[in-house]
Amino acid sequence: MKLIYQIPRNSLAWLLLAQAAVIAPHMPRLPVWLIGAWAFVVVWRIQVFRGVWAFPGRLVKGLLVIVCGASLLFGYGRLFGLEPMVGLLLSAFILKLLEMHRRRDALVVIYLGFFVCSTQLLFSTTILASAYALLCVALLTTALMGLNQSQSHKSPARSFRLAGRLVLQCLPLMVLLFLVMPRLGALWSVPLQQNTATTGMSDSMAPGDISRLTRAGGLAFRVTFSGSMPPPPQLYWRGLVFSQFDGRRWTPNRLAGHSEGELQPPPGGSPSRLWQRLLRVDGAPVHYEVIMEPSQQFWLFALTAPRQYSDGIGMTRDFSLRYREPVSKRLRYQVTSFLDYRAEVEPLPPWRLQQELQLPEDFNPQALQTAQQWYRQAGSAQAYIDRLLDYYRREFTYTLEPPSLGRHTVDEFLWQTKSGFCEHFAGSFVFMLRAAGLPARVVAGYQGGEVNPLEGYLLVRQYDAHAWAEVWLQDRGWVRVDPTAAVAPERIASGLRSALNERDSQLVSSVFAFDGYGAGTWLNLMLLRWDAWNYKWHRRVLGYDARMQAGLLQQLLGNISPLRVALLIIGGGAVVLAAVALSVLLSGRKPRRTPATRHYLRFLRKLSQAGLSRAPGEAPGDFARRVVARRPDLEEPVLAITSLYQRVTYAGQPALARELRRRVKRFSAGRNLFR
Amino acid sequence: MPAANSFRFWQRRFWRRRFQRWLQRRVPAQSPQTLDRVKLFIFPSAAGFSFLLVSMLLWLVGTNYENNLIIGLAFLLISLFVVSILHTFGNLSGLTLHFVSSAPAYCGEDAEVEIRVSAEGGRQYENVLLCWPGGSTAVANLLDSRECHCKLFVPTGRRGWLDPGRLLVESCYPLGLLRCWTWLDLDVRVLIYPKPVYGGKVPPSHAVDDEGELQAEHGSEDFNGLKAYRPGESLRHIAWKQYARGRGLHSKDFTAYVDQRLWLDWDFFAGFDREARLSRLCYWVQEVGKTQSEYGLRLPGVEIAPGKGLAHKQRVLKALALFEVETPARQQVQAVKMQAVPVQSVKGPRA
Repeated sequence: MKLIYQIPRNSLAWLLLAQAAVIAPHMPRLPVWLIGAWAFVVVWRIQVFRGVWAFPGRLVKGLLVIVCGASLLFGYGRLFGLEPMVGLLLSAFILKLLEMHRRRDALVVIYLGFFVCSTQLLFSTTILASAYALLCVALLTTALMGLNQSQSHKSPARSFRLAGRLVLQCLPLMVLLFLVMPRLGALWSVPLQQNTATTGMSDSMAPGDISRLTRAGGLAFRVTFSGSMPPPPQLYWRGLVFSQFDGRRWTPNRLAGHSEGELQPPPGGSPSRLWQRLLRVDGAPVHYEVIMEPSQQFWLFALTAPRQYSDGIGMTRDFSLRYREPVSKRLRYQVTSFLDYRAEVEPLPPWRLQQELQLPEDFNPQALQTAQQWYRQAGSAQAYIDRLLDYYRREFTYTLEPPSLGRHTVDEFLWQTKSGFCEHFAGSFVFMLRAAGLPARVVAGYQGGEVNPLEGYLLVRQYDAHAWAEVWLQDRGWVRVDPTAAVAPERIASGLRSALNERDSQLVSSVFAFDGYGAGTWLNLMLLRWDAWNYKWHRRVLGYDARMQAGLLQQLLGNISPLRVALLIIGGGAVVLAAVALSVLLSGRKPRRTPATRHYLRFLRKLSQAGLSRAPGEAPGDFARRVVARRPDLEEPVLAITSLYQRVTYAGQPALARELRRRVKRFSAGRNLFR
Repeated sequence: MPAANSFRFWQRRFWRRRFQRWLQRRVPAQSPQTLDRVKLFIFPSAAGFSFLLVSMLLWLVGTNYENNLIIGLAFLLISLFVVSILHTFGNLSGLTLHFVSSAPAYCGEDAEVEIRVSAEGGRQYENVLLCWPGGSTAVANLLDSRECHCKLFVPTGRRGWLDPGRLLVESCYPLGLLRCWTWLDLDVRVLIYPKPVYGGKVPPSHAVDDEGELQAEHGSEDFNGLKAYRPGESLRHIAWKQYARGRGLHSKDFTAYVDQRLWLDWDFFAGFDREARLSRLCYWVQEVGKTQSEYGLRLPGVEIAPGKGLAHKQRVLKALALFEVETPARQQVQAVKMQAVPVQSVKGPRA
């Protein structure tokens, strides 16, 4: 019979546990069959270890490979891309369990585990995910340690303690390397997640979309202003501009190839000088930094009108910002905006007019007719706008759950249901303006936000999603008009919650509770604190790049030369390692004292303060007699304590230790008597 | 190719000797020995190199995906490697190895050597491997105890004083990424008896002069008396005279003045070479040792008076073991020293 290598029980147990821990965060992304294969393999491996089953034959292994391959192929529909690659890695990680014939194979499994552990960080980079990854590393290290312990090692908890200590000892050195080791940019381009569900604002707007988004909850982005923050009614985070209406759905303007150039910046996002010239700014600039959560979409959010922005961002012809690729991980960008601006003041050329006045045919006849009639009655554009806003103010209600609309959405909304959310107001408003011959468009983005009092940054959440209108007026260019502000001014001044009636509030209460909207409660404070940590984490850790590194080194070293950096690494490393070496080599040098000995030593200290010290090597009994001879007044406690100590230590009566402690605590040699 | 092979052979031998000399200076023979910085060597193992490769790959992944956390993970693994240098070193440093005893063995058997591994202080030592090249491996764990005794078996090749060479003490604990080791000369000496080879039946008694014939049969010598005849006794021994006198059937009892002292003599196996003679004598010693008879040993230049008992047997075997052994100078000194030590269990010189 062939002798098979059995990896130590301790190591196998930890290895299986580590594997489960490492795979767990990938679970939602994995095809079901792969998970099934995993369970199968684990059971088989345990049976092999117990000696019940043999290692599987070629047939079973072949079958497993086919199952894994097929589940990857059908689960993801493609073989290239991040997720199938991670799936492939995971299958190797799983299947290798059944090929663990030698110690080296176990090593391969553990090393694969480190890789899999790193891939979870491609999908999530939160503090929790990182702490979890650290735990996974500790578990894998435990398995690795188990491989190097003797077969007879029987204390799994001890292995984990040791490995955990080892990992903790590594942290200072890791931090040093992290801070100081030179950073390179991406060496070649790599595919990031595809086919991931987009979150946040979508690229079109139909009635009900934004109210749905509001209920989805979650964070959209965080903003840090480098100066003072503009007042909340000014905080219109402009994202998308919708100029195209098909009767139900608003979409961005996609007409391209016109003589004046594309409507969107070329790939690579270089700023377009021509479109910049359309913007005239005035007043004081507002500088701020946005950290955006991944949205899987191109567009970014900024206050109008953005003038300067980070690399990789381009501005479209309608002054919204786009990133060079979909935002698939947290993105940090800086923008300088001027709140006092005039956009596209020159008369719109015919092709632009055509875009901004476009209306679908055979929709909303009543609205078309009424608009022309009211515009004639009003006489001027401003008067017409005021009349419309007045109409909203008088007759409409703001609600999260508006009645559903049929074919003529605007007609039905304006004259029948008369209740809606911001997209209803913005959509119908723009329709009415266009019907009256005024160029107008819908803008979608976020409005407002909540200030985190701990760090002073602004939190913008999905329920701050909003839609408003822009109308082009002679000599003034594009002017922002928010019909929602007419219906529910509280919405703009102090956020969504204050604008909702009780029933609507209940609808979104779970979202509010989770996002900590209830101001002042301890839960809210904790959530804000947690968010502040996340924010710092993102800025300091995830955002640590070559630039920040250069700043830090500048601060530490004065000027940065390779020699100085090398000296910093060596010097810092030596200090860190010396600390670890001391703790490793000196560990356990101190004799362990039993509690009884500690209490007795305390008793001795008290006596020596009174001038009675034990001679080296003097037995406790002898010492007690000597003390009693000099201080007869202490006879009772000294003899009692000594006897207790002797009984605990030598007579094996540990239960008396507590009594000993009590007596020692009460004991006083009364040195004041002597002085 | 033979020329090249032999060149390589000499080259290797040259380097090995240089290394041995260097080692001799750096870690001189001694027992007990405490492991320290001077004596210990440390180098990444194959697993360690692949671990570094894994870290580098992770760093590459992190750099390429511009993911600081993966870069951090790669640095964590590198730190793990660096910190485990200290731990692996710490797992040997401070250990004291002490050659306790060795039991003599017959040539060809594995000899048993006992080594005590101990540590001062409260540090824990785990999975420390001890082995002689070609011998068995023992594992020392000092977790809650402060010392442990390891029994090691070394293969034996020749009679005489066996020097098993340097003891390999190594440890890859805790992570197996590094191997820390040393080659210790603990002054271990093991007495190796000749390999017993069947040399015919042991001569039952002394009969040195008689040509090997078995004359010491019953009653072949002096008449001792008469005793009642029991059926089955040789008819030749019946005292016919007494029978004729009508005193009944008696048989004559001759007490052979048998010399109970057996001399195991070098000359028994004339014609064999030295080792063959010693091996056969050794076999006889084993055989006679099982009986109660006294036996002595005569080798050229060595004579051990007859005696019996374990100590005597060991003395005789030792004489056989050390007869005309060509030992290197250092070992001869050892061997002389050893004479003074009781043979019960051969102890190391400084034990």
